Amino acid sequence: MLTLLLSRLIQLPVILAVIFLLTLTLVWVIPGSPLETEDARQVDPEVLEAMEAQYGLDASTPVFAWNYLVDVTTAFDFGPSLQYPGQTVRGILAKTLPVSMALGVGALAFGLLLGTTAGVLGALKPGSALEATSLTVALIGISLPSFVTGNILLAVFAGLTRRYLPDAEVLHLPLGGWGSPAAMVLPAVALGLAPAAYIARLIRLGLADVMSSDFVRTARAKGLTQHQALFGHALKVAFLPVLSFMGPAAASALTGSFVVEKVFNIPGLGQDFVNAVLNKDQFLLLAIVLVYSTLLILFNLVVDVAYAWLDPRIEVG
Amino acid sequence: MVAIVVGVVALAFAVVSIAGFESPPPPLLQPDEHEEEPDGVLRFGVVADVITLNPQGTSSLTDFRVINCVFEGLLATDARDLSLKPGVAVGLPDVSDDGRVYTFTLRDDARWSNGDPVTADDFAFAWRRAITYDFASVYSELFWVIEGALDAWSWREQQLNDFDPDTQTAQEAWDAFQQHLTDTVAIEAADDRTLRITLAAPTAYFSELVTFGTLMPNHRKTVEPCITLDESTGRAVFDSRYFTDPDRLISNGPFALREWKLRRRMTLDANPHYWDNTNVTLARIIQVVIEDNEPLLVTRYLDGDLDWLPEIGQALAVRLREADLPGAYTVPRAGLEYYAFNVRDTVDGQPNPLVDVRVRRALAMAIDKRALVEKVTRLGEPVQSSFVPVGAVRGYDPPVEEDLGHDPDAARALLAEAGYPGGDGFPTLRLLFNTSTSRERVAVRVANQWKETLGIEVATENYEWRSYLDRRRKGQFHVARSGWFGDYQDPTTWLMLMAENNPNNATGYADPAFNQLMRDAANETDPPKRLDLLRQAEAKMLRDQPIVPLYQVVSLQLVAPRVSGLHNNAWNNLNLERVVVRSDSGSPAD
Repeated sequence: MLTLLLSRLIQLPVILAVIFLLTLTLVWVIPGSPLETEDARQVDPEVLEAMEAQYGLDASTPVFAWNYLVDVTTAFDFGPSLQYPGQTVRGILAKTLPVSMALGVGALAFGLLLGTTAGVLGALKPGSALEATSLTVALIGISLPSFVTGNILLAVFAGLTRRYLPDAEVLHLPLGGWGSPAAMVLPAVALGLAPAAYIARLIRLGLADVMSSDFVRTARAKGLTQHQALFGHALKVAFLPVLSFMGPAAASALTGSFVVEKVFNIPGLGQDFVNAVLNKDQFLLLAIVLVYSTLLILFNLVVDVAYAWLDPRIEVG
Repeated sequence: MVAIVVGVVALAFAVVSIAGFESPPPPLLQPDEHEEEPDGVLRFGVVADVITLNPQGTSSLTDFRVINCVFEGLLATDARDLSLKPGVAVGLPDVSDDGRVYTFTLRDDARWSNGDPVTADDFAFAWRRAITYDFASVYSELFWVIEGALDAWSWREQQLNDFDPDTQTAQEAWDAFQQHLTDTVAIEAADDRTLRITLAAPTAYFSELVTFGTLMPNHRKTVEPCITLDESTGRAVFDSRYFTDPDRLISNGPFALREWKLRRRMTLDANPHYWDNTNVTLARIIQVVIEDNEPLLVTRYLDGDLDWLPEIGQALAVRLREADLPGAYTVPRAGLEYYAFNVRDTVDGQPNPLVDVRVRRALAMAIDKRALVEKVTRLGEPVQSSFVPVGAVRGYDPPVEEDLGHDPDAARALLAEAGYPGGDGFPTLRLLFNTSTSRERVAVRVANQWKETLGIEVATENYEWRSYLDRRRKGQFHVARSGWFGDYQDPTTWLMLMAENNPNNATGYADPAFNQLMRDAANETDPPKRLDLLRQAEAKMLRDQPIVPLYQVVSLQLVAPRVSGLHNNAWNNLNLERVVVRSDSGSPAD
């Protein structure tokens, strides 16, 4: 286990360095200067040159890459935002990453709860209406993109409830924005529905498989009830595929969903990411890519460790 | 096991939630019922936040809208009639007979938001900062009219290129540059209340220019310490966080920055030290940002949460205008939309048929501008046949060349005369524009008109902003969609675009006669004669047809009936400090 952790942690900087260089190359080939803001005027070339010099962008790509890497690794300094002068990338990340993480955790919690419940219920009574319902919900969750579910949720809980149930204030959820737990409910549901559906399906299929396996039959033969066998043994094994799904899902949920953040007007990292690409705000873009990659790698590592813990048959190394 | 997972997740959720929500939770879109607010609050909504409040660091109209609230220049523009009114200066400057020396007298009761007096030196400092190479102010070019300014910029650039940390410290180089600025640039703070500027040439619009955001002052005492020197390169580095931090930013306008949550909301409070504060009718201005979500902005406006939406994008604006929504006003702006013709000999190595003025004229005459504004843009845009929008500059009537209007037969004849009868032998015309639905519709419409009238093939090429700029700069187009908003009330704010070597002159147009007329106008001290020379220059340029003006830009805004005193004009001068918001009436939808 220790070897696994160590080797992965040694790989981490190498992978990050490769990702960094790839992103930097891609940023560099996008035409135009990040300092020319949309629909403002074309800056005097002399001034533009001076502006680039101000940010060290006039240096050659390798020099810039090296300086930036040194700043990031030694001072954890991701540089200034080119789009918002006066704001540092670190400052922007400090404001938006927690927002995205809070939303992502909420969405994952919702997804896990709903997905596991639906999956187990479906598996408990195969062929029943319960199973049909849970599979239908799962199908809808997988099929509908989050901007559709997001807008439906908005229409229902922020629009229709206000109009037709003016007294049921608990159902009047904010139209969007961020700042109160109530404002988080709809986006978390919109973002968590797709993972919920995947989880429900994974658990449902996993359970069906495991419940007919030898060790569960043995357990049942020894006198365990179906519930005891399911919750005590089978669920643990059926949960494994969910775990491998959770690694990347967690990384992507925590670093923000551009679409959901857009629909609900949430000031999160997902919007920053897309804006940074559009604005060619390379410092911000590089920082977000690095944060996202780090999270992705770390979550995969956590998943691998959890795997070993849940299923001793699996050797990790 | 599930219980453990759920428990861990719930715990993490609680922790991150606390971290994610600031305390107390900022009301963004929920009505601020619990926050105590003073009487007289104007809330307006926008889709993109201010980029910076550094007056010398932006060219964006969104930024200047707020900068005009928190800073005040020597003179200001009266939003009602666009006349000049006193700002920090007590009145119009004394101008020397040769039109080159401007002397401004500052009022002695002008104060910064911390109570310090606003001095001539605060202006001199800000302007010198704007022409310092190290800070790369986007609008440095506005200062090139001042004697010595451009040279000082180049001097510093050269000094930095030659900088050697072994022979000189960064401080020594900086001090030498400061001395150079004082010695050679004609910005002189004669005493605390007298600012004397000598211009390189008589510049009749200089009084208009000092109302512009880039020429607003800096509180020297707090801005100067934001400058640090890099020992290895000798460069001065400015800490622009100063202009984002309400605790640090000292300003001299009717309002001061109270709070700024990037991309969410910005609050400005009336500045108690402002010299004319008895005439400030608003206690607070709140800018609410709902990024790229206009429908949500309009919903909040209809709910009565927002008093004013200053700009609505084309597509939604058309729908709102047709829905006849209460409080929807269209305002013609001091900006125009035009197509620029590439007049260079070749385009991507191929011969360019547009070098022939007859071809350009044929293209221009084949465009039915009226159909364009009535069927495509649909905001009642005035059709434009001059480069300076009609009515944008007091006292200037742009030349209108009647014979260049929509005339398909004449267009066909001209194209035939140029050697392309019925479009035969004409290469595929490349029409470049930057991504936007409305621009695409215009481009497709114009392309169709060219195809139907002249029989030429048109390839519409759609690029995002930076790629579009890149191609435009490199001349990789035949026709490029362009737009231009004026900065100050003078024809030159448009006409200089067509001067040779202007970075925004996409066309490659370089006409000696036009340039000579522009130079003559620059040296003319008699205002009517000067305007006449500019008129001749514009007429000459329009005849040469490096561009075809399409229409004047119209913006639609929503103003709640409870708001009064919002004088909308073609310019960005709104005098928001004179706006009155009544608190009694409900939402505009009522």
